[in-house]
Amino acid sequence: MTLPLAQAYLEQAKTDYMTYEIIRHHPSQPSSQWLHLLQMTLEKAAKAYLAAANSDFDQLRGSHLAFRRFVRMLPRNETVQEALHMSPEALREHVKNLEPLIAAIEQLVPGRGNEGPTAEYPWRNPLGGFHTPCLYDFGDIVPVIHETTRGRNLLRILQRSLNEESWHVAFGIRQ
Amino acid sequence: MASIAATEIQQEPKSQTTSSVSINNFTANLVTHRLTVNRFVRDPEDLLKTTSSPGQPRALYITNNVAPGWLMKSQTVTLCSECHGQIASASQQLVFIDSKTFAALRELAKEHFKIEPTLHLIAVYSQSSISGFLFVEVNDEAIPTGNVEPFYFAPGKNFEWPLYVADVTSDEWTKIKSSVIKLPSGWPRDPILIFHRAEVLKK
Repeated sequence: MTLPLAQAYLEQAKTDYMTYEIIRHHPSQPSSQWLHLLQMTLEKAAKAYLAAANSDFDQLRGSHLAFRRFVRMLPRNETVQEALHMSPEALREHVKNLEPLIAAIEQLVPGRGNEGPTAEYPWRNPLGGFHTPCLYDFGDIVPVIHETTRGRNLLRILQRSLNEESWHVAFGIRQ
Repeated sequence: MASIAATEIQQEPKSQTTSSVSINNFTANLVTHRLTVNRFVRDPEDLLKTTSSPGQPRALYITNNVAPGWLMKSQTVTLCSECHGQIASASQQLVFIDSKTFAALRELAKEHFKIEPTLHLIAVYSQSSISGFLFVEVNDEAIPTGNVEPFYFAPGKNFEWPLYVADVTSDEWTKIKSSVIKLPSGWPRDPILIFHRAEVLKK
């Protein structure tokens, strides 16, 4: 089975998110595991939306910080304004509020100058030795995601981006 | 980047001088007029008011590129090589943007300027067929990517054409103008319009 690139990214993002939800509720799983899945969900969801405008596969693979760029488009889209019952200005403030958390999650990707923490690979401790994600608490991110309004709002936006048919049409993922 | 310059016109003809061009039987919106181009300015926001549609602003500009025929009535003219200190190429294209289309583009640009306080310039690109517009939006808070990566907006109630929107930094915009950064495949090198924040919001 093949799909247009935007839909291919979207389906994989949905699956990553389902796995994130399963692992997040599993007591034996360290936060690095679901953070990694959440980061991948954000990236693939945003790339689905980018792919609807430009299906250059190689360029998209190298694209980064895509979810923050995606949410910045939301206030400019009338379908999103209607779906969220927010004025463009209010929606912009809403999105601005989410950006630090999105940036923190997007920063978990190893490489591109990121010397850690990452959700995937060990990183060097400047004082000696190495950290590994599965034993790291990610104390600046984890409580924000699940215990604050900002975190819940981010997850709501993410879920809509994955599941809201009107958004998919408005951004060209589906006709 | 090829020059894109707005011009100012008058309905009544004037004799052609080294800094003006007369165009007879120029057709715009199916009304024939005799027009005189009497000066060159750089900003397409320098809108025109013609007696063919009193009070309706139109943009008239010169471009080195072939203008999208579906969007505009156009006529190729030969220009003087230098007008008011600005160099113009020997043969360029004189185009009228349909006032309804221009108003819609301008209104959308205005809305984006209002939403985004750090957005200061919007370059509007159009393809040769009716496939929509690309807004390259120069935003102080844009996340630099080194590319132009637009998002697609389907036609809606407020804007009836497909729209592609990409945020870029000022540095990226400089590189776009000098073709160091390329637009996505299918988009022409030069914009058909440039909207400036101060100009759009003050009116």
